[in-house]
Amino acid sequence: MNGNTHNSTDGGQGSATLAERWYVPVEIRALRVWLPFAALVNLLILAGEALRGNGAEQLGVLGAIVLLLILRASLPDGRQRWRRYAGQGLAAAILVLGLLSLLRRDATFYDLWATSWLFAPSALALYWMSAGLSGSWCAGAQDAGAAELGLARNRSLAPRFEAFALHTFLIHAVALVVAPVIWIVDVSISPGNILGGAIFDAFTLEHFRAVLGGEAFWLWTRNSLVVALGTTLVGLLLAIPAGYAFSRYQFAGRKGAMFVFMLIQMFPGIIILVPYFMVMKTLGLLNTSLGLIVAYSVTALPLCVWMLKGFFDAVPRALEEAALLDGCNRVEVFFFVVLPLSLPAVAITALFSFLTAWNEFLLALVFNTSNDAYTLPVGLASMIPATGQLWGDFAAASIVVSIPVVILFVLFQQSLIQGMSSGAVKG
Amino acid sequence: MTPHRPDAGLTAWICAALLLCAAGAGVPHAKAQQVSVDDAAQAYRQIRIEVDYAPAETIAGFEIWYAGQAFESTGEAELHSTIRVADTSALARGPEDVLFDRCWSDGLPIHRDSAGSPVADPDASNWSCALSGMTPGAEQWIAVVPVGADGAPLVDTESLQPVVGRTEVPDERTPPPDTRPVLYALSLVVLSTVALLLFLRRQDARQGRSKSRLAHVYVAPALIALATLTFYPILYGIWLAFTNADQSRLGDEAWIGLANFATVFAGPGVWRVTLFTFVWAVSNVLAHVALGLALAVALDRRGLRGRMVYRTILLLPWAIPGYISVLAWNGMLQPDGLVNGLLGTAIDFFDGAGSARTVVILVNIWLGVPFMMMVFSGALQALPSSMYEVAEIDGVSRWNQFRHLTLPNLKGTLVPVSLLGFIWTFNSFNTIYLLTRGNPYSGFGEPGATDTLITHVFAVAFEYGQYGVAAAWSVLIFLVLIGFSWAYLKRTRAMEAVA
Amino acid sequence: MSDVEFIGTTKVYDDGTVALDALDLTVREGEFLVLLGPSGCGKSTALRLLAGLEDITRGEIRIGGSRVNDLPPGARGLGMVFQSYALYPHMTVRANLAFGLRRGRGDARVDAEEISARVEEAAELLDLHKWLEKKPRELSGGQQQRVAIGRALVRRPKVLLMDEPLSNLDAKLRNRMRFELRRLHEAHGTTTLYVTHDQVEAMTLADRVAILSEGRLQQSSKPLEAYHRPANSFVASFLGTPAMNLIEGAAKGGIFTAGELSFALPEHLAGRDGPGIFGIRPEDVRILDNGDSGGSPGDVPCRVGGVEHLGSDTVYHLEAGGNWIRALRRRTADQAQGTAGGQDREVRVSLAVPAALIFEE
Repeated sequence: MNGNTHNSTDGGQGSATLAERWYVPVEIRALRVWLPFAALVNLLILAGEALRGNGAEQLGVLGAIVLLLILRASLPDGRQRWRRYAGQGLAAAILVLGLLSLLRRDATFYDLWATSWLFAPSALALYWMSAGLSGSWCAGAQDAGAAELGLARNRSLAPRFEAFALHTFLIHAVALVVAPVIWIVDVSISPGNILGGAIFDAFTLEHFRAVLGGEAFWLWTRNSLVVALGTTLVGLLLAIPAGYAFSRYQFAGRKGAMFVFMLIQMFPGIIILVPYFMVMKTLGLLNTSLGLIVAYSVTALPLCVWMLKGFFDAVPRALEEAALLDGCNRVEVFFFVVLPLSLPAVAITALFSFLTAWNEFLLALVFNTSNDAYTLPVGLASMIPATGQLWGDFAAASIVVSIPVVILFVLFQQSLIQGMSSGAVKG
Repeated sequence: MTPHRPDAGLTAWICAALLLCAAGAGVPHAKAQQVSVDDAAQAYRQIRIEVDYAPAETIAGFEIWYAGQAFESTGEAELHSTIRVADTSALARGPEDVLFDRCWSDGLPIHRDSAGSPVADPDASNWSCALSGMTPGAEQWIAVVPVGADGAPLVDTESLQPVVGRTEVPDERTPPPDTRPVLYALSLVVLSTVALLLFLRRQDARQGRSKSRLAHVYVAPALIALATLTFYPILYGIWLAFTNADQSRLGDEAWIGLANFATVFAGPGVWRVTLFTFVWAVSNVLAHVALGLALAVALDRRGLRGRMVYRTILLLPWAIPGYISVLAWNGMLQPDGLVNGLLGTAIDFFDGAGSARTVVILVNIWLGVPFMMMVFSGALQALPSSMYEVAEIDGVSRWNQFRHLTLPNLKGTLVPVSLLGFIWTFNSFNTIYLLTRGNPYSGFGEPGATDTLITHVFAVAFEYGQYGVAAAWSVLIFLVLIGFSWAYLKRTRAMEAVA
Repeated sequence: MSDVEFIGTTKVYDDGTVALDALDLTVREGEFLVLLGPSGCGKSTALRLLAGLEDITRGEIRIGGSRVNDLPPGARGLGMVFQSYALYPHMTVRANLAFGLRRGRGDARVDAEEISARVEEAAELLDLHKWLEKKPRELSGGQQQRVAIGRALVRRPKVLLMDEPLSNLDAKLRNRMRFELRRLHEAHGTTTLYVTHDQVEAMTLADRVAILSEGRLQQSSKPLEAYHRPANSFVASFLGTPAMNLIEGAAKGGIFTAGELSFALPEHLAGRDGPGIFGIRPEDVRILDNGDSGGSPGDVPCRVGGVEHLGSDTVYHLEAGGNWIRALRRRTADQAQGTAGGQDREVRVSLAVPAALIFEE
């Protein structure tokens, strides 16, 4: 440890080299961060055990959490030997706890995952504290040369450790995200309406046949298409001139109008739903596509206007002035210069209002009482009433409906996110 | 109506005859069941049947079949509803007039389970139901089939002998509603919007801004649409809040002052539902921001392999239509669903108030994280990498880089997006409606355990039909939201973006 | 007649800023007039008012004798070259050139044959043939600039407007385009209004310059006249690099006094009396050689505070009685080295030269 004396400028306590003082094996550094995380995950597992009402198991997990935290606190520091022994002992104890919990029952997939959060940290800790370069560092048997070597090793290993942690985190997120997707696919190809059971253990197209062969699905699709396309058209016709005026003109009432547009966007549909419903009912627009088109184009209007204003702002004014000098009037300027230039933006806005209308549920639920007038969201939800739930058909229909929507969302994610949070991220 | 009278008498007679036949035909089945139509209890589009039977352990429920013509087999009829036979000691007797199919046992409203379905006690020997959806003035054939625990019928379903009933209460073709008031109001709104625009235009002209002559014309369609379909309903809604409007009074509601607001505040669970709404919104936004930020930071790491794959997959909850994801979670969380399968349990997550609340919040968290992730990803990419390089040279740790460099620089995004997220979550309806409909049920007119203000207003309006009370709720929510929106607009300095 | 007249033209913006204050200016037919001034002086506003892109608050503008205040921009018979070129990015160069002809109305209407002939002509003139089918973004800055000029010319405008057209080009290209613009003007003789803040452009291009400051016209005259006989101290200081020396003080009996400094005025200024600003261009300041001791009463003793060698020129910063005087000495063939050099040396300069001026305050 103090074999090197050439670093005499460090004075009395500076018998160690710079490398020695800086060096902590990457494994130990990783454990410092990972062990608290493992404790956190085990806390979640504890909640799961509480759900199952499994007393002994809860006690075991609780014990493991405490041990993990103690292990974190007493990790070796490369000097005090007792820390190494304590650490090894604690890690072994956690390992045993994991083993016990695994032996006590016939393990489900979830059990395997839960126990792996005891096994993995404890096994890694035990191995790293006992063997290899990190093991000898923990034992305090390290000289300057080894420290130099270790630093170089840390440098090459640290990114890999980090990548490992990142992927572990991301894979967990991915698992949570895809679970419902896998489940839906499984239900759609399983015979009957079984909600649980093994995944992909049977295959049938009966649900797809039932859905695609039935009239209702196509009727709902037709309704949804009419409503969504109508909404897009009407919404754009209203929003484009307004967005252009807000972007280009200074006029009396501009600020007030824009403020109102922004404010309205924040109100939930529910507060105008009752009067809306009564007006629609009086005008006989319930159960018609027109009623929904009118309602949707107005609800999506403020955001569309804001989106378009942002896009029009990006068209240089000088272009319009050039066109004016070239003899265009204001309307021609818009159609020959501004519109062609902002066409991609208009398309995004159109897509936005289309998807909003395509996915909307609340208004469609209230305005459509007849099965024939259902749009897809209400239709699909109607497959899952309190009784007689057609989960298989629902799953098959969901897949058919979702695929195009998901593709659109993924393709245009950037623009849609920008649009949805337009105004939000400003300032 | 008068010409139908004799028919009614005739029907009653036929019914009586048929009942005798039914009773006779029932002999082969020991302990026959007897179905009768209670003509005295005629109601609009409803036929009330009474069923007397001998209780038996084999009976797990009853199916009520009906058709517009005589039938013998269930294949020719439609299933109207089912009644379960189960232990009712833990169940409450349901409300008499909320649900469509009102049923009674022992002269009292029948027991209802947590889903609202009727349940008869195993010891009971009769029940009666007012079957809704019956065409007035037309004969309906009705048969009741007892079923066993496995769902199989306990009688021969190919030789049924239905009873015939009819309801004479006329189809109350309410005269087509008077559209004139609405049309007058709408034209008034349109005209005043146009007048406002003309006034503003004159102001512009006076200030010599001839360039913006067309601006008001451009804004006019959007503004008129907004005025007729947003301002007008809001004003109409405020008016409704002071009236006794309900399902049966449409268009002839009367002013009743603050009574609706009194109902709202005196009602049980006002503060509970308000509190839960805030818990719901705050916990969701916190989780959305925290997890979204964590994922964005993780995806932003240099040299991460498979970034695009991760990104695309993690976007799914945002890209899949929300109602589909929520219904999928609904299925997965059923006692026989995937989640219980993985845990090796059979918990009904939607049963207890606590677990139902936790579950709706968790599902909504699942839905909302990707949007935040994307927003933060965009903001992170805009941060200069040189900033982190300098920090690296200064020996700043990763955590401190995040804490003192990333977070402060994200504040411009973080704060407004959180506020927007709060407003969105506050306003959200689908998750709760499609998962629990606000259940577990707490009592008639009372918000359920998982109801937020928004879903509760929906229930008040469209399940209980109390439009006036719902409007009063809406006005209150409106006031609360004006406060939030104001804070949001102030905070984001959106008005500066306007200028 | 296609002369342009600004008559008391005033522009006040909504927020109350007066961008242009009662401008009276006439641009004669065939003239190349440069509107010159620092940014924010109102020169662009004047151009935009003439083009019809902004509303005139007061006063009027006439083109060829008729009032155009309320004519739409396209009806005024103008061509304009924008600072950013403002080429339509979604059209080819050919379509850009033809767009204005296609959209023309009334007497500006042109048939298809004529359109293609004119586009060809413009392409010929500006050497654009190779680029006709390309989109603007595929072109370099200089090429885009040519297209912008071509688009303005192709309509045969009565008046050609240019708003800082060279400011987005690099120095070398700017010199070439400057030369080319002058050539174009000489070939066509179109009345041209040219806005710039670059005095070199103004001096080299203009038949006449109009110098604006804070929305007011300061002087309009031939460029050299403005240089040599600036109407006021603003024009004097704005034109010329290094800027003219301006010494605030008072003249009395042929002697100008500014603080501790006092010197005899040249003959043509000897009659002046009262407070004023004495102006002399750096190149007119004569640094006297050491031999000329004694000297005349116009001589001023100075201390050399700093020297800048610019290659062909040398600028001396001289301190005289609390005033700083810049003197410029051109390198000549027989005088390879500056003589006055050397920090802190004492020298004498002569300010009493015929080119010296006195401005009223």
